[in-house]
Amino acid sequence: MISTLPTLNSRDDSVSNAPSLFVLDVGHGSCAVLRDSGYVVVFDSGPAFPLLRFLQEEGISKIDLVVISHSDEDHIAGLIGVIACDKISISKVRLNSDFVKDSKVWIDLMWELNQKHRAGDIDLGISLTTADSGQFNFGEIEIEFLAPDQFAASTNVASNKHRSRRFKSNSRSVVVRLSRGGQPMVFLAGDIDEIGFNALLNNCPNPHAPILVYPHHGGSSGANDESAFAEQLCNTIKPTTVLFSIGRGKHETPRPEIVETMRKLVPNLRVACTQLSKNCCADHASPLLHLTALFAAGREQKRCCAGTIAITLSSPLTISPEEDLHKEFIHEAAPEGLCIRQIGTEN
Amino acid sequence: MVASGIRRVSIIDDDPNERSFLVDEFEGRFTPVTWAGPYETIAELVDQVVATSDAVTCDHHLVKNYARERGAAFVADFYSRKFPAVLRTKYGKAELHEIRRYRNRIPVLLTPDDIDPESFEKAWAICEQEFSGRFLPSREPWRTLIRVENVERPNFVDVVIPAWNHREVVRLLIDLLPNDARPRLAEGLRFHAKVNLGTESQDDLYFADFEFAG
Repeated sequence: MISTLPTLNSRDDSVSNAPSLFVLDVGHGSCAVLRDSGYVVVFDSGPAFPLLRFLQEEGISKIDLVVISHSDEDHIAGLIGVIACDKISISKVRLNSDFVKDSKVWIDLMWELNQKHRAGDIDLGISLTTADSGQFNFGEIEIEFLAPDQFAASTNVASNKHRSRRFKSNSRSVVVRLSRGGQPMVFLAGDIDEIGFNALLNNCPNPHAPILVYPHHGGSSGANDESAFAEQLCNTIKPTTVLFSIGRGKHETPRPEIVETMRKLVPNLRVACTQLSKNCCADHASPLLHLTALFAAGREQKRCCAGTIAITLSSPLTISPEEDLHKEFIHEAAPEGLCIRQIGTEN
Repeated sequence: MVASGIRRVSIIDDDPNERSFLVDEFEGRFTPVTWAGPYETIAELVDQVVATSDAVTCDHHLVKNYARERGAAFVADFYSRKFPAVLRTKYGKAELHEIRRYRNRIPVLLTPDDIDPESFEKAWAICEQEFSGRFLPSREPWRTLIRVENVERPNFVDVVIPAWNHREVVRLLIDLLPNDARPRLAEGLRFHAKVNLGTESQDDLYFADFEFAG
């Protein structure tokens, strides 16, 4: 029920004793870090170096769990650096059993992980399904795995078909929902596509969460109609805030029709992208005064929009950067930004 | 960021015109000390410079009748002795491979466009910070995985550093790697080294402390 969901407030400071989730600005890619009661959980590791910089700047030297949603390079490459460096320890790594994208970077990751696993330094698991929900609730935050279920995880993505449509690697991306005290808070969609999401709904018909980290960076998901998929996500997850983890100038994300569809369906929807989309403005010279002090990959090159986004997982939820300041920046830097431009409303 | 207490500055350059140009640049801000050469060994010159000045700048492209080593080797030696040193080069990418051999001990590389007293002062300050273990994000060394992408014997090996940029290939001189590892180089070989992962440009990457398993 939507009425049971916590409300959203905005707050300027990013430091709090309550559990916090940081949706990192890693450029094009995905990475989120949960800090909860002294524990640290990383959901996807983004590309290359940003995760390492974030962990260093936040003084994090121990990670209790890393969850990898699927094997795309923009979700895994950052972990290679964290494992290899001799400054941060990792207790557990759980990978989605998605090996179809056997890229060199994936093999790099497995080579590195295998060394640490054989040395007894990392507890490595090559499977993540809905059955793992509740296995990793270290602190106050409940970590639910909404997808893939055992059937999806065991489907051969290279050859099989699923309900007469192509079942791809992204179809079985791990999807996570974070809740506190039974109240859903954040939906981390990984790169789930329409087929995978429909399979998710079979197991979890009410996947509500006030904050949605949009799948596949708001790019093409392979759906027949991206607007219809966005509408389905809106109607089932019922978010009041949608976050896009994007790299400025990469893959033309987020797609305008996705943002427009969601804004039409949800009055006062807050939309925040980690970096400023080229779909919002080609160039800008606006100062980034609204950003938090947290590391953001786009800060130096002035590619940030919201930068790294900090969510305090309390009731009410709070988000930094604060919405008014962020909007002020968007109005100045990108007056025709996708999240503020005039749109016709339905109903 | 300003270097502390630097007054006397040594200028190592085989070109008298360049030495004279730098003396003029430094006049009023530092006390320049010039070195006209020739020098038989690095140690000979380094000892004298350290004894008589507070910092040094050295041109990379030194002719053989001035010194037997290139400037990068001099600067690296100064660095090892925790003496602030800045390398200059006008050859840019042409001498990149040669300089990379010592790049972990060359915090700042100045080109002709950067030649002004402020740039030198900042560069020496960066040296002093590194001597006390404080690195700029672009200079901090991280132990990381390196994958061999291609080997062009006898001179080059192309590598990828996934934690820096998994899409970019970096060409290294084979003799940058330890002797016993060179025969094993082949596509797909993975090993570890210390690399400054925070740098944007591959021109500024350095490699040190190689570790080959087995």
